[in-house]
Amino acid sequence: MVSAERAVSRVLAWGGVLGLAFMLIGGVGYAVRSPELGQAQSRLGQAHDHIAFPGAIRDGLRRWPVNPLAVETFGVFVLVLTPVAGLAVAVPCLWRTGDTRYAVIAAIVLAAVLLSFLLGAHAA
Amino acid sequence: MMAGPVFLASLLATGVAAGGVGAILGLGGGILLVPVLTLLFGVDLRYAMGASIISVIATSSGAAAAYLRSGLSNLRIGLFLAMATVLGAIIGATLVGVVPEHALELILGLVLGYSALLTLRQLHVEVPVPAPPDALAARFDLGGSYEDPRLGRAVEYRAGHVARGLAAMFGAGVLSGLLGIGSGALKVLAMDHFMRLPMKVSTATSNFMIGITASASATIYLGRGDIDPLLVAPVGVGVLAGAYLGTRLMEHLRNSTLRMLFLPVVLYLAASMVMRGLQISRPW
Repeated sequence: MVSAERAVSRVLAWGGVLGLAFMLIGGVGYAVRSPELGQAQSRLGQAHDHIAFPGAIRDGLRRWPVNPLAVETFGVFVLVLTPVAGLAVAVPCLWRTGDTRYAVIAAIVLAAVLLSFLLGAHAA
Repeated sequence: MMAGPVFLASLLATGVAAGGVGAILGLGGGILLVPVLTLLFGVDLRYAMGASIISVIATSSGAAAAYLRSGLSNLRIGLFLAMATVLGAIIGATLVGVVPEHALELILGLVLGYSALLTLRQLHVEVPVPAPPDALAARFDLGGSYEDPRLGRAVEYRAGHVARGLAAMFGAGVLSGLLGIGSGALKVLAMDHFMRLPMKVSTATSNFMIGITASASATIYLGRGDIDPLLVAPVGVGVLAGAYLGTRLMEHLRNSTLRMLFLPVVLYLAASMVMRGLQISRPW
């Protein structure tokens, strides 16, 4: 049986790598399609087109060719969800190993984070 | 103005440094990233802060993955304390505009300054003196052990003064929600000073916890459009690489060396917060 530590560790590692892979693929795609953007820093980190969250990510990924900025923002979204996925995996792993007390604690933390997601989405 | 490839390489290098510092000290790297991006690269502050919150998650994902595997990060202590931090952050976020922020910043600065003094007093302590038995620690099994390659032996530890630690974590969460700061330094200090956990365990467990709280805040930044994916991509790659290198290095450092590295960061944060509280513009 995989320990909770090892399972959470794997989710965090793969979530981080997957999120950054999407961000890199999107970034390269955007640089290829908008070569002037890669020339100088003038537009990086300044106000420019960005993908609104989350509706435009879905729309940008459904179109063909896909919008590279949507791919990049999806990568950011995957990265943001990675610690939450770690918590979600911790709950059943702790439960299976008989550590029900900490499975409940992990579920409480997960519920609180999801609540803050809802509050954040509402505030935005 | 830097040419594109040089600029991207500089962003990558900044990310590596931020990720390395964040992974070693349990802070997330925002402390380095925001001033460098705004002052050196001329990045708009809101995008710099957006990049910082993503860098905290990237650092946490990279570092906590390694620390959980090696046993330095204590999952159960992290989850137990995260209950207080996340609930505090939600309450803090709902109090924005109600509580005077500048007074809180001043208080936080003074608390950090006092913590810096405590850190100075136990600068050379390698393994903390065990805290007196604590009922909550016994009930929730808040302890563990890790192999210390530097000391060449296993170090066993048990948390003390858990109620105080929980209260400090709740406070860190409230301040995090109210002031929009990561509060990684407060988490490390609470585990190190109040709960008497070894410094390595404190910074490694903080790395696990800051990812959880940062992901809760990051949705707000995403929703507001404050995260520039074109800026975040090179920084994020650098941060993840830096976090990987930082975890390799940290396992071989002494607890006392970690404290020596941590002290100037806490002093910087304390000065920043006091100046923000007194509404004095910083020269840096």
